[in-house]
Amino acid sequence: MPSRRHLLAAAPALALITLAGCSTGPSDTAASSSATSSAAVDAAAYPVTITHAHGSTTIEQAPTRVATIGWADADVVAALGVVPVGAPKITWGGNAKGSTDWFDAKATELGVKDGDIARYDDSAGIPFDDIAATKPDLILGLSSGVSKEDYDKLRKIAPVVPYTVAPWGTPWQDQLEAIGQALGQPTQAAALEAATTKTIADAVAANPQIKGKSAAWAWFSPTDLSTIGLYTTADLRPQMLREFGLVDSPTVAELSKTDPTAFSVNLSAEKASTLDADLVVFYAAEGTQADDIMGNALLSQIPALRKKQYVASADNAIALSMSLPSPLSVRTAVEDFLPKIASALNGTPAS
Amino acid sequence: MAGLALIAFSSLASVLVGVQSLPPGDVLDALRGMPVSQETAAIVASRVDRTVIGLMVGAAIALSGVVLQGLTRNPIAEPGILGLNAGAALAVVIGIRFLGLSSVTGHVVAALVGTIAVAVLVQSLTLMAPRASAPVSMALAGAAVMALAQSLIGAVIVTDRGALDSFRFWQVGSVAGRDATQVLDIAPFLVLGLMLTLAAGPTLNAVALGDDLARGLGQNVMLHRGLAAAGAVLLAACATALAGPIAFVGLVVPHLVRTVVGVDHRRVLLVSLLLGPVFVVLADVVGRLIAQPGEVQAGIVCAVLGAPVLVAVVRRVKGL
Repeated sequence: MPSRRHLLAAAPALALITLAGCSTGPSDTAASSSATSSAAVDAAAYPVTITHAHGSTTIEQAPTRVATIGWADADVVAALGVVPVGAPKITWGGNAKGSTDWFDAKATELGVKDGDIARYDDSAGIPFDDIAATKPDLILGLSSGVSKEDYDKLRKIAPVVPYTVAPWGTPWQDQLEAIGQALGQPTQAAALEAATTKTIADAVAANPQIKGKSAAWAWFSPTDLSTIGLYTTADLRPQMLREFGLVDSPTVAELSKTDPTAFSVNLSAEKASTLDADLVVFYAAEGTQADDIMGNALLSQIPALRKKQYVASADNAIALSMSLPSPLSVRTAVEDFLPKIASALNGTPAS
Repeated sequence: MAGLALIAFSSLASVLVGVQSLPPGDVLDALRGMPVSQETAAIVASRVDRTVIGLMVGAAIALSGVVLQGLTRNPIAEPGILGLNAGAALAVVIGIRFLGLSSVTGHVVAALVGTIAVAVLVQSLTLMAPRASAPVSMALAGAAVMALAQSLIGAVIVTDRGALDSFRFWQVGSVAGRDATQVLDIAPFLVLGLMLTLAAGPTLNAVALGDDLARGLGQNVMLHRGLAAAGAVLLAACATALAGPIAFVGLVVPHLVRTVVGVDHRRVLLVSLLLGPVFVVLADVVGRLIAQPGEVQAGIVCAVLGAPVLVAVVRRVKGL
C-alpha cells in the first residue's frame, strides 16, 4: 500500500536526521585543508546573533570554512584552533610568505601546510573574487574597517561579522569574544582572554617604571616635517600602550575628542613643544630617518624627544604586534616591544 | 609698486602668523638675529623657509601659466590643469622608487622628463579633437592625464612597503616642512626658466595676433615659441620638484593680473611674477589658520580657491 511504502521510505531518512541531530562532534574538515581543526565546538552555542557596526549577523551553525578580511582576524581564528581558508596578505611588517611569524608558528602547530591558506592582496580594496574563490561560509572582519557598501557585497558570499566598535579600532578583547561566539567556542575564548591578559599583566609588573607614564604614538611624513601625525585614543596602538600601563598623553586625549571616529589627527610642528607626553613612539624607517626627525629644529622641540624618551620603531614586524594585538601577537609585543618602551623611559632611546 | 608692497605684506604675514601664536616682537627679534628662545628661533626659521619656497613656487607656476595660456591661446591652460605637475610628480615618484633619486636636483631632472612627456601627450590628444573646441579638449586631456598620473602614483606607493610616507608628499603639494636651501640647489634651472619666460612677452603678443601676422612681423616663430615653451616647462618642473603638484595658481594669477593691467603680455608676465608668490604664500598662511592645531597644505588651499575661478572663467569666456 502506498502509505506503508512511504513510511518505509521515510524511515531511513528519519533515522539519518535523528543521527545528524545527535552528533556534536567537531566541524568537518574542509576539502582543501589537510589540517584537522582541534577545536571542540559547542553546538548549543548556535544559532548565535552578533551585533556589530553594520547591523547584526546570525550564524545558524558551526562554520566549516572561515575567511578573514581584517589583518588580525586570522590570528584569533587560529588561536581558537581553527584553520582559516583565506586571509589577507600581510604586506606591511609581514614576512616573506605574506604572513607573520607568530601566525606561522601557530599554523605549524595546527598542521597547516604551505598553500592551505589562500593569501589574497587587499592593497587595492577588498578582493571579493579571491574571497569568493575560497568558498567560505563565514567571513570575519573584526579588525577591519569595512564600509557598509563592501559589507553588503560580502554578505552575498557568506555571513559577515565586521568590526563591532570602530573601523580598525575594535579592542582585541571584543574581537576575541565576538569570534569566539561566531566559532561556537565562547568558553575557550574567555579562557584565552584571561591567559592573554595575564601574559600582559606579568610583563607589566616586571617593568614598574612604565606604569602611569603618559605616552603618544606619532607618525611623520619625511618629506613634509611641518606636521606631526598622532594616533588617537580610538586607534589600537594607543590602546596597547594603555594595556602596558601607560596613560594617554593629555594632548592626544584632547585632540581625539574633536573626531571620535578618526584614528589619527594632525598637529602643526609649530606646536611641537605642546605635545605633553613622557614617551613618544614613532615609526622611523631604517637609515637616517630618525636622525632627520631628531635634527629638525621644530620637531626636536617635542619634550619627549628632548629628554631622549622615545622609541623610533624601525622593525615593522615587531611594531605590527602593537597595531594588531591578538592572543598570538601579544607574546611578541611583550617580549620584543615592551623592553623598548622600558628602555626609552629610562632615558635610552630605543629603535 | 603695489606688487612689491603686496609681496612684502604677504611675506610678513607668513612669518608673523602661524599655528603657534608668537608675539610679533619676538618674531622680529629672531629675524634680526637677537637672542630668543630655541623654540621661537626654530618656528621663525621654518616660517621663513616656507615663505621663501612659497615665493619661488608661486612665481614659477604663475609665469608658467601665463606662457602656457599665451602659447596655446587657451584661457584655462596652466601647469596644474594640463596635468604637467601631476606628470612631473609621477616621474619623480618613479625616479625615487626605481632609480633611487634622492637630491632635489635629481628630482628636477625627473620632473622635467615627466613634464615634457605629459606636454607631448596632452598636445597630441588635443590635436585629435575638433579645432573649435581645442581649449576645452586640452583641459579635458589634462584632467584625464592628471587622473592617470595620480592613480599611477598611488600604484607605486602601494607597491613600496616602506616609503609610503615619502610619497604622500607627491600627491598633494605643500610648501612647508622642507629646507629652503633646496631653492639654491635648483637655482640654475629656476633662473633659466625665469629668463626664458620673462623674455617671451613679444612672442606671446604675436601669437595672440595669429601665426601669419607673427611671421609677417619677421619673427622666427618656431624658435621663439619653442624657447617660451621650454621656459614654461622648466618652471613647472622646478615648482613641482620643490613643492609637489600645486594646481590652479597658474590659472588664477594671470587672469587676476589681466583684469588689472590689460592684455599686453610683457606687463602680464612682470606683474604675474609679483602676484604669483603672493597667492601661494597667502594660501599657505590660510592653511595654517583654518584647521588648528593641524595645518592644511598650500596645495589644497590653492585648489579650493582656484576651482571656483576656473568655473567662472569657463562660463564667462566666449567660445568655451
